[in-house]
Amino acid sequence: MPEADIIVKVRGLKKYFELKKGFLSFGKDVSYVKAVDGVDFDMRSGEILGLVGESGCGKTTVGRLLTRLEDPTDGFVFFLGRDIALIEGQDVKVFRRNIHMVFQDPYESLNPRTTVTQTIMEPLLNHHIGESQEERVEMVVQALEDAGLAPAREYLNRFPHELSGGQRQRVSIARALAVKPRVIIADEPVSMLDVSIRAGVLNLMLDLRDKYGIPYLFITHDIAVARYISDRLAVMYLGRVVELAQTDDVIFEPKHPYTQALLSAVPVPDPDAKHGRIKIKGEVPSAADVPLGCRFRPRCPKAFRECGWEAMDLVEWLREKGLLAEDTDLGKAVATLKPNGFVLRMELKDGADPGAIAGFMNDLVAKSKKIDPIMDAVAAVDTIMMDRVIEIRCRPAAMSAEELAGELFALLESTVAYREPDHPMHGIIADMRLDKNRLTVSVGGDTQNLKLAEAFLGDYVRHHRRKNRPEFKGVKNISPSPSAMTVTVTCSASREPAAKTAIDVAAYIERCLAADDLAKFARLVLPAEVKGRKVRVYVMGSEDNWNRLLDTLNELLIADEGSNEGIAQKVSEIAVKTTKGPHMAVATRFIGADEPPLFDEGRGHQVACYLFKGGPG
Amino acid sequence: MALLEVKNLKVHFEIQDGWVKAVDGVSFTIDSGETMGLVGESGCGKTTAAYAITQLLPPNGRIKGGRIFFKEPARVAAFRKEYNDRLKDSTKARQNEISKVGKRLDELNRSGIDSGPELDELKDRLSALKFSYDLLSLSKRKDGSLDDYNEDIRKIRWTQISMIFQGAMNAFNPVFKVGDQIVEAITLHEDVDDSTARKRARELFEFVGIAPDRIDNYPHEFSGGMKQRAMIALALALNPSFIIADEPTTALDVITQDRILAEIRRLQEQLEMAMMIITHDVSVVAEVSDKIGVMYAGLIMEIGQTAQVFRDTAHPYTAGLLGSFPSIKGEKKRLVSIPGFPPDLVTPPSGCPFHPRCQYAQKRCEEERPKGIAIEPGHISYCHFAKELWEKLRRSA
Ligand SMILES: Nc1ncnc2c1ncn2[C@@H]1O[C@H](COP(=O)(O)OP(=O)(O)O)[C@@H](O)[C@H]1O
Ligand SMILES: Nc1ncnc2c1ncn2[C@@H]1O[C@H](COP(=O)(O)OP(=O)(O)O)[C@@H](O)[C@H]1O
Ligand code: SF4
Ligand code: SF4
Ligand SMILES: [Mg+2]
Ligand SMILES: [Mg+2]
Repeated sequence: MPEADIIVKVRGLKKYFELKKGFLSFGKDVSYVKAVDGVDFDMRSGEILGLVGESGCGKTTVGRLLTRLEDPTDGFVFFLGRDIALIEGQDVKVFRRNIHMVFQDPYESLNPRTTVTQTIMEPLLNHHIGESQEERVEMVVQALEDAGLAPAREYLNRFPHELSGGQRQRVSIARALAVKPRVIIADEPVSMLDVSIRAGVLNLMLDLRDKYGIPYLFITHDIAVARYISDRLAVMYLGRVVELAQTDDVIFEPKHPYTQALLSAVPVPDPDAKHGRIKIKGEVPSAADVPLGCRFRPRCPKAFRECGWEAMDLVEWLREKGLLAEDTDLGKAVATLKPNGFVLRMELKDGADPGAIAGFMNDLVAKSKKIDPIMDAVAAVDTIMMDRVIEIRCRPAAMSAEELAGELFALLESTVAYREPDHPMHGIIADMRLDKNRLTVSVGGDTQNLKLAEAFLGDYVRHHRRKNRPEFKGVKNISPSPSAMTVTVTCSASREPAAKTAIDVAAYIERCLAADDLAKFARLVLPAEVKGRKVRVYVMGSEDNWNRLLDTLNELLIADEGSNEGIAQKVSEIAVKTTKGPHMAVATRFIGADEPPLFDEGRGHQVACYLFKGGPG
Repeated sequence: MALLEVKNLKVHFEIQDGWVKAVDGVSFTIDSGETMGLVGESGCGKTTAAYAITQLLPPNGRIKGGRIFFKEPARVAAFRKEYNDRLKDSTKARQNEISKVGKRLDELNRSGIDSGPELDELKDRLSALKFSYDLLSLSKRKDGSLDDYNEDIRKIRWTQISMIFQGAMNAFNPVFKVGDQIVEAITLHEDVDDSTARKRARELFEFVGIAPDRIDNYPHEFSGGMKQRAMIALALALNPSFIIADEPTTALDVITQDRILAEIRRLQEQLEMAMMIITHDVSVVAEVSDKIGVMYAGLIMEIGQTAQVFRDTAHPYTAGLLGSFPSIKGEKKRLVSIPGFPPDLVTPPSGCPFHPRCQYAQKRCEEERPKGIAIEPGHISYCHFAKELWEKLRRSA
């Protein structure tokens, strides 16, 4: 697909809504509804992209993000190559004219007190479209007739209550069309319409696409409708696109286990059609409590070792097997279960024998790992002393101008790699060079491009500084040089806050522990936890293990200065702290896994499932 | 044997501008153990027909005609036979018998007896003497409104005929535990203590696929699908022989819908319960119904075995409805939409109500309401030209 045909490009899009936890929690324990949690897709010119999924999976939020009715928590939407988050001032109006939304409810989306003419005229006036009033009336008439409301004269002066549901939805479509947008986002546009009328509106939308080549994002929970209208189909589950392909490839060769189950549940208007149902477990989890690893795993009939099993799964597994009942070995010994990501801690009652419980769990794992993928995914089980923790206090770090320039360079390269053929700066930014505190960007083409590159870099730095890169306030100067066709970004010294250095330190520890010579020991180390400016690390097993970990950390973080990426200056102290925690616990640590990305299975068929990791591309 | 027989039922609503002819002459039968799907677009009168069967009409609803025969309890049927044989057609003898039973009832009343086998028997005898087994004759007032509180009807409702209402998911009272609401329904109608009723509630939960220990949850702790299951449990609580489910899956996602439909199929098999499933979705009826009635503008357009209606379609409206549904099976074909929109039922079109939208309409269609034409045994089309159009409309199997 040539770059020019991509109208909208969505990458890593996220929207988290803050969840208020009742008035007693003073903003400390904020949790989030992950309505949209890392969505990628392209919209191509003249193409209808269907977005299907069960209610609550985030479809509407995606539509709202694309139209900037909502600001993303993370990720990007590029509209004709521009990051829409960076569009400001007068350009916002142009943007709104170009991406138009059609809503679900034809009864609520029209103002009851305005006539059809006024309704359709409003966006024309807003966007100063049309030279004269006569011309605008002409446009209204054209839009109505395009929307199948002919002769238009009959409808011009009607109010919404004088129209049927189908006619109202046609007026909404006419209103969207009148401004000649480049993209239409239609959110469940036929869901409220009667069956006999629905077909007419769907056909109308298909005909208009053929006539004007406007791409739609067609959002619906109705898979049969999605199949009918879309050229390509994206299936969403719990905030993510899990499968995306040509529509009939999704319908007839679904690859993701969720898509397979979903399709097998769709009723067919044919009494003879016997469909093989694929049963899946339970119900969609809450978007405030998204499983780690693959989010479909707790319900997936095909889940295997590498799917990211976590502590909650083990709790559920033990409960299902009746192993937590009061009169069992575990039931008698365990005081509390503390599931935490990929680690389950069982805090034991006084007098319980940790060694025996660890032994019991180890036996259980050994016995079940052949038959149950969850047990196969256990990396280690051991006792853990809960009365101590290794605490690494971090401090704000001075950043030299050189370092800051380096960070900016790395960010530009990695998050929106300008070398990627579909990046908006592709073909404009020809090269980047880092020279001490200066980043020099060479620009190809004419001086117009120089302006674009300058604006882009400015927006880019501002955007990231506001978001989570306070240190970017050290970026002092962005200046174009028409003679050299370069834009130079000059950085000065800056500071990284401790909360930020703590994250770097934790990540550095994880990286070091993954090294070959440490891997075996590292399985016993629980993932480092970041609490404000502190990083906390626990290790399973004996006193010796604690000492070894302490030595290792000292060596990695402090002694090894020079080869430790400047980490030493971010650490102020490493100490073993005693805590009032319960004395003993048994920890079970899983191998863990990241979220599966969309793997390309050929012919543009993308699937977010580890079963397809080995596919082409 | 017919469990339910609805004959020429008419239910209208009085409003400012006149009468809404929501159901305007509907007839069908349902056998025991059979499931009928009643399908049609919103506003065509499906819910109203169901309400009339359970004898629960909004205050402005009036029965304008028709009869609803429903299986009566075996003992009442036996008494009826006894009286018919003995009293023949004599009104006088019947009046005598009625006052005799009435007197004895009064005596019992005066002596403070308000339950017991003799009282039950006398009441059943009175039903057999006084009423035909037309449900409407029990509760219909002179003006056509229905008496919700009629005792005979209240005995039948829920114990014999129960209903899962549209939007039932929200029918549970949010301040009481779901289990308690089921227990209450049981103890209200049956002479059992709380612990027996509670045990039954747990069994019902298990039967509809909810963990029994969830009976102590409040409605908001249930997902949509679970509420709908609990609603089915409630409808089953008193072992009815007939259940009406009004849009039982409409608000649910497909995976949940599929599970509820599977649940309904299991009920049909295990309990041999008769059901009427009301829906606007032809794919849903195709999944669970033995027979189908297609409604439009207060009237049945076509009725028959599911396969007959789907394959051997004999009515232009049915054909239009099927043609406007996209499917995920087979090749993608352009949908054919029905022109225009459903009529206003205050002034429905004359003759065949579908004529303003029907591509086959002729003069006669505007003037004369079509009578049922039998296409095959059990398959009736209410179109003047059913026989002529049949070949054209039926879809090649
Ligand atoms: N403004 C909001 N505040 C909090 N949560 C929201 C908000 N909007 C949507 N959500 C939640 O985000 C999730 C996705 O919602 P939505 O995008 O409407 O899904 P869909 O359109 O697929 O039904 C749901 O869990 C919903 O409850
Ligand atoms: N209480 C009422 N008063 C007036 N009109 C009503 C009342 N209830 C329903 N109607 C009308 O009766 C017709 C049939 O309604 P209903 O039986 O609910 O249809 P369906 O269940 O097929 O959607 C509709 O036109 C509706 O507006
Ligand atoms: S990665 Fe694939 S197989 Fe594994 S749980 Fe997810 S969907 Fe199932
Ligand atoms: S009776 Fe006439 S108008 Fe009605 S469906 Fe038949 S052909 Fe059409
Ligand atoms: Mg939505
Ligand atoms: Mg209804």
